[in-house]
Amino acid sequence: MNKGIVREFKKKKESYLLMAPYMVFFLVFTLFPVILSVILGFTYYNMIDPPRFIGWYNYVRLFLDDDIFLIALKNTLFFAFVTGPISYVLSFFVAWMINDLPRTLRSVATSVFYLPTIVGVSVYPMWRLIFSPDEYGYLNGLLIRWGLIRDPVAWLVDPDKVLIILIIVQLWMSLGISFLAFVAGLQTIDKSLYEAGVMDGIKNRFQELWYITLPSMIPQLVFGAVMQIVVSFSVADVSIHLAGFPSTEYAGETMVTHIMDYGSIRYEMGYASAMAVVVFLMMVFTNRVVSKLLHKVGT
Amino acid sequence: VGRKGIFVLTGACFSLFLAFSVYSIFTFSEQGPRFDKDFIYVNEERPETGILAEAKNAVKGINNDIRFHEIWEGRTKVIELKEGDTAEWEVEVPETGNYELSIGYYPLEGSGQDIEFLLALDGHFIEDDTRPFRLNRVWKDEQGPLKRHNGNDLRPKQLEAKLWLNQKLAEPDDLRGEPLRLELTKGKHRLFIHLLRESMILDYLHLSKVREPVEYAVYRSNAPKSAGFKEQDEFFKVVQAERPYLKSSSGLLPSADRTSPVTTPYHPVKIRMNTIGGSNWDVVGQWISWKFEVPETGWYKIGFRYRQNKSKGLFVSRTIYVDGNIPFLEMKHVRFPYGLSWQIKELGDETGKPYLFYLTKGSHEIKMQVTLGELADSVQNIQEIIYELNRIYLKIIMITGVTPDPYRDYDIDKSIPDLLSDFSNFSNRLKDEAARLDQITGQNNVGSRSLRILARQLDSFIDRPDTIPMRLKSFKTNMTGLADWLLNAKSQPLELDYLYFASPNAAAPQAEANFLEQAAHEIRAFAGSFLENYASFSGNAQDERSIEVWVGLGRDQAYVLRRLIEESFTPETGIDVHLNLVDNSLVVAVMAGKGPDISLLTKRGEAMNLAIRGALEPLDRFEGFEDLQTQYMPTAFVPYQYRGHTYAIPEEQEFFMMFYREDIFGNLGLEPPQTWEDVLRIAPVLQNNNMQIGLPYENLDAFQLLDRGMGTLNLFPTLLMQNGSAVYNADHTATRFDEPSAFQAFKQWTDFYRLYDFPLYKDDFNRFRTGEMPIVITSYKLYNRLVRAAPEIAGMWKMVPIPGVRNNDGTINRSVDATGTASIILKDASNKEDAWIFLKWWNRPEIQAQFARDLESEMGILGRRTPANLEAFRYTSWSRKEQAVLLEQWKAVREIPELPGGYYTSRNIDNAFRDVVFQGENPRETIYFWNKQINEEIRRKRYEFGVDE
Repeated sequence: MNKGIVREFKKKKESYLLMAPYMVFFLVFTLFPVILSVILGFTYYNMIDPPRFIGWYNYVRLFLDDDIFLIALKNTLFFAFVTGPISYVLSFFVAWMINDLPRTLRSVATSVFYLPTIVGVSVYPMWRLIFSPDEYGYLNGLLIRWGLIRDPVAWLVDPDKVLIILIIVQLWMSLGISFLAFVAGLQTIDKSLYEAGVMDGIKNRFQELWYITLPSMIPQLVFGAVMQIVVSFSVADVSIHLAGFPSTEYAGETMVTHIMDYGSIRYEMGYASAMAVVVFLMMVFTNRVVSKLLHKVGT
Repeated sequence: VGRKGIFVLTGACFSLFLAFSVYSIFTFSEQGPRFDKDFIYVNEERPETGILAEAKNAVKGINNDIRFHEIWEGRTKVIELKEGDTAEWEVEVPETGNYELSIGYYPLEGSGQDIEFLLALDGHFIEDDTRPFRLNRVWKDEQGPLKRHNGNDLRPKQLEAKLWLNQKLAEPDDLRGEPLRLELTKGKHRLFIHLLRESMILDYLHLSKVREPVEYAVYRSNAPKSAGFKEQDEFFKVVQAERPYLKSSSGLLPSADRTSPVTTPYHPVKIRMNTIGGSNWDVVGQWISWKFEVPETGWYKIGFRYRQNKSKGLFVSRTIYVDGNIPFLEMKHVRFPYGLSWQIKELGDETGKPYLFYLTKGSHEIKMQVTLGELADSVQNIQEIIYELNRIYLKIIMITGVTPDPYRDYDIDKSIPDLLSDFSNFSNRLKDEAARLDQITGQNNVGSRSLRILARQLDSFIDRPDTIPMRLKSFKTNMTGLADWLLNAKSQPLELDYLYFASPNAAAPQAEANFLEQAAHEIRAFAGSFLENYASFSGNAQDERSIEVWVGLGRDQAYVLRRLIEESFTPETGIDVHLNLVDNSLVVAVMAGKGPDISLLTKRGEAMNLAIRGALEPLDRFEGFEDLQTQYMPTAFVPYQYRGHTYAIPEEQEFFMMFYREDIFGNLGLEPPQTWEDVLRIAPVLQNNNMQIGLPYENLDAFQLLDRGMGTLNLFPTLLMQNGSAVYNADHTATRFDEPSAFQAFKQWTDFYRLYDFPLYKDDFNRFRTGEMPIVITSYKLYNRLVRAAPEIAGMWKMVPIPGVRNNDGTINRSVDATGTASIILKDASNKEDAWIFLKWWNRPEIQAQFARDLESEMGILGRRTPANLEAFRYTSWSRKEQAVLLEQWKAVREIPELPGGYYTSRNIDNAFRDVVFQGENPRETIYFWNKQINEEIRRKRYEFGVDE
C-alpha cells in the first residue's frame, strides 16, 4: 500500500510539484487553522496563558447559557436561508437577462451589476447617511418632505427595523462572485443544443432554461451556491458598519459578529473557536444539501 | 521594415533612458557640508527720540512692591515684573496726536509662552482680559552645523535668544498686524501695565509719533549723496533662508523640501534642511529675520526664491523691515503670488523694475513679518457680513425650524420686518466686496465667486420671498462655503529657500529645474527610495543601553518626540531610544511576545486590558513614583489601578465643558445654566425658537469602548456622580446601579431625550457655529476647532464648566468623568530601570510642556495638547483665563476605574438607554435588567482572572 503511494507519487511527480505551492498555502492557512480551532474549541485560551483543556464546557455554555448566541444564530440562519436564496436566484436571473444583450452592452451591464460588490466597504458611509437617524438623513428627509412621517425614524438603531435594512443592503451588494460565474457559464453553453431543443419540441424560454441552460451549467451553479453559502453565513461587515457593533439589543448580531465580540474584545479564544466550529459545520452541512439539490436540476 | 524600425527605435529610446538613469544616479555627489559661522547676537537699541518713560520712574505698583535691579545684562535701573504684577507711569505728552507705544524688555525664562499683559491709559483698559496684549519672546536656532541621524539632517534645537528687545505694541488679533495707535492730547497721561502671564525685566516704555514710511521715489531721492552713492557691479550674494538670525516663535523651524533639485542644499534621498516657513509661517504677526553683509556702500536689489502653493488664486503678504524700519511705503505689503512650483521674486514695482535699497558697507538685518496686507479690509468686511447673515438665518430658523414644512406659507418677509431690505443691502455689499477682491487680486477668484453666488441667492430671495424656507439649506451651504474661503484667505503661508542681495545689473537666478535636471532628480530619488527607511525613527547604533518605544501617533508628532529625545533624553542619560510608529496593534503584538519596552499615548482600555492579564509592570514600585503622583489631579491615576497597583502614568485627561453663544443668549435674555434645572428652564425658550441643546452622546462601538474606557461617551456617569452615587462599588465587585440615586440619574438622563426631545445625533461644531444649537456640552477639544475654523463667531461664545446639581450648602456639584491616554512599561521589557528613567523623563512637566508647545507650533491650534500633569498644563498655550476655567471643571473630574469586563458596563448602559428612548420601556425595569447582565459579566471576568476564587 505504502509502496503504491510512493510509486504513484514518483510517476506523477511533476504534477505534485506544480501543485505544491498552492497545497502548502492551503495546508498552512486553511486546513491548519480549521483543525486548530476545533482543538481550541475544547479549551480556555486568553492568548497570554497557554490553553487549558475544559472539555465540552464551551459548547454547553454556547447552547444553554448564551442568550445572545441564539439571537445571532437566528439572524444568521435568516441571512442564510432567506437572503441567500433570494440573492442566488436574483444573480442568476440578472445574468440570464444580461446574456441576451449585445456584447458591449453586456460588458457594461456586468460591470454595473458587479460594482456594488467591489465598492461595498467604501459606500457604507453613504448608507449611513441615507439611514441617518435625524432629520438630516436622506430617507428621513424625503419621507418628512412627502409628509409620510412626522418625526425622524432611527432606522439603524430601532431593533425592529435594523434587520430589514441590513437585508436590503446585503441584497444590493450580493450580486457577487456567483453572478460573474453565471455570466461566464451562460457563455459556454453550446448554441447547437438550443437548436436541437427547438427540434425536440421546446415550446418556451422557461422550458429552454430548465431543460437545457441549467443542466449545462451545473458546475457554475454549484460554485455559485458554495460562494453564496459562505457569504451568507459570514455576514458581519454590513451589520458592524450600519447597525454598529454591537447593535441595539443585538438585533443585527450574526454568528461572525458574535465570534468577534468574544475573540477580539474579550480575548476568549476558546469560546470563539467553539462558535467558529459550529458555523463551519453549518456551512458544510448546507453545502452538502444544496449540492445534492442542484444535481436534481433539469430532471 | 516598419515593424522592425519601431523595435529599433523603442530599443534605442529604452537604452538611452537606461544610460541616462545610470548616469544620473552615479554622477550625483553632494556638496560638502556647509559651515556657517555663528551669529553674534546684539541687544536691540534704545530709542533716542520720542517720549521715554523709564522703568525707574514707575509709580509704585498697586498690588506689589516693584523690584528694582541696579544693573541687569548691561542696563541700569530696571524693574522686574512677575505674573500678576502691576506698574504705572506718568508721561508728559508735548503735543496732541497719534502715538505708537513700544516697550524695551528682557523676557525672563519661563514656560516659553509669550508675555501677556493688560494696558490701561488714564485708568481705562484698552482691551479686556480675553484679548491681552502680547510681547513675544525671540528664538534662535542652536548654532553650529546641523546634527545628523542616519545621514538625515535633524531640525536644530530652538533656544530663546537672551537679549534686550524693543517691540512696538500691536493691536491684539488685528488682521493687519499694525501697531496700536494711541490718541493722546497734550499734557500728562498715565500708563498702567498689568502683567497676566510670564515675567520680564522692563527698561522703558516709549511713545513716538506715528510716522508713515515715504514712497519709493522719495526714498530714492532722499538718500545721502555721499561718496558711496553708486550702483554696484557684478555682486550677488545668497543667504540661506533656513538659517535665520532670529524669529518670533519656536515653531518657525527649518523644513526639508525634496521636490526640486534647485533647492539648496540638495540631496535626492536624504533629508536636508533647506527651506523655512510653509504652513507654519502663516499667522499674522509672525516674523523671521536674517543677517547679511554687503561689501561696499551703495544701492542693492533684494530677491527671494519662494513657493506659495497653498493659497490658491490669491497672494500672501509680508511686511519687510531693513535694520528695524520699513524703508519705504511699498515694503509695507509685499505680495507673493500663487504658483505651483518654486518662483523667484525680486522686490520691485509693477513693471518688474527692481527697487534699489541703500545699504552701507557691513552687516544688515532684514525681517519679514506676516501681514494680511490689502486683503485685511476685505476679510474684515466679509467676516462681518457672514456674521450678520448668520443672524438673519437664525431669525428665520426661529420661525421655520431647520426642516420647514413645505406645505406651509410662513410669510417670512412679514414676520421679519426689514428682511428684504436687509437682504438687498447685504447683496450690494457682497457685490462690492467681490468687485474689490477681483480688483486686488487682478483676477476672478474663488472668493469673489463665492461672494457673487451668495449675492445672487439673496437677490432671488428678494424676488420670491415665499421660497426662502425651502432654500435655507443651500443658503447655509453658501455661507459656510464663504466662511471656509475666509479661513483660507486668512492664512498666509510662504516657504523660502533663500534670499539674495545683488547689484542692480545682476541677472535673476534660476527658479526651477529644467526638464532634464528634474528627470535626473526623480530617477535618483526613485532609486534611493529602495534603500531608505522613512518610517524608522530608531536610534543611532546598537548601543548597550537601549529601549524600544512605541507611539500610536502621526508622523509629525513622532518627529517632535524624536527631536525631544535627541535633544534632551539621550545626552542626559546615555540611553538610546528606538522609536516606532505603531497604531492599534499593541495588544496583539504583546500577546505574540513582540511588544515594545514602553508604549506612550496608550489608550486607557488598551493599557488596562494588558494590565489585567499581567502583561504590564506595576509602576508604584519604582522610586520617584510618589513624587510624580503629586503633580496630577487626585483621581487621575484611578483608571490605571488594579488590585492595589498602578500600571500607567496619565498623559492626557479629556472631559466635558459647556460651550454657549453669548450673542444668542443675550438676545433671548437667557443666562448660561448652572444646574440641570436651569437647563430645563431655558430649554422651552430655545425650543420655541427652533433652537436645540446639545448634550454629549456617542454611538456605541464595541472596539472603541474596549480602547477608550467609559469616560466622555454620554452623560450618565456624570449625572450619576452628581447625584452622589458612582459607577462601581468600593470593592470593584459590582455596579451601584441598583441604588435609588442611580435610577434617579438614569431617568434624568433618558428624560432629556424622551420627554424634552434633545437631539441625539448632531454635528456639534456646525450647529454651534450657525447658532442652531447655541449651547453644547462636549469635550474641551471643541474649543480648538472653534478658534481655528469658525472665525465669524470669534468672541461671541464662551467655554464654561458644565451644569451640575446644587448641594444643600449652595455649592454646585459639577462632577464629571474623563478619558485619556497614558504611558506604560511592559512586563517583558528588557531593562526596566532604564524604561522607568525614560518614563520619568517623558512625564516631567517641562518635557510634557515642550512636547505640547512644539506640537502646537507644528500643527497649529488643532494640535493643541492638554497634559494631565498639572505643572505642565500651566506651561501650555491656554491663556491664564482659559486655564482657570478648565481647572475649575478639572477639579471636579472623578475618574472611573477600569475593571475586568468594564467594556460591558458602558455597552449595557447604552442598551438600557436605547430600550427606554427608542422602545419607550420603563426606565426602572430596564436599568435593573441590564445591570444584572453587567454584574454577571464582571463576576465571570473576575473569576476568570482569579480575583475571586
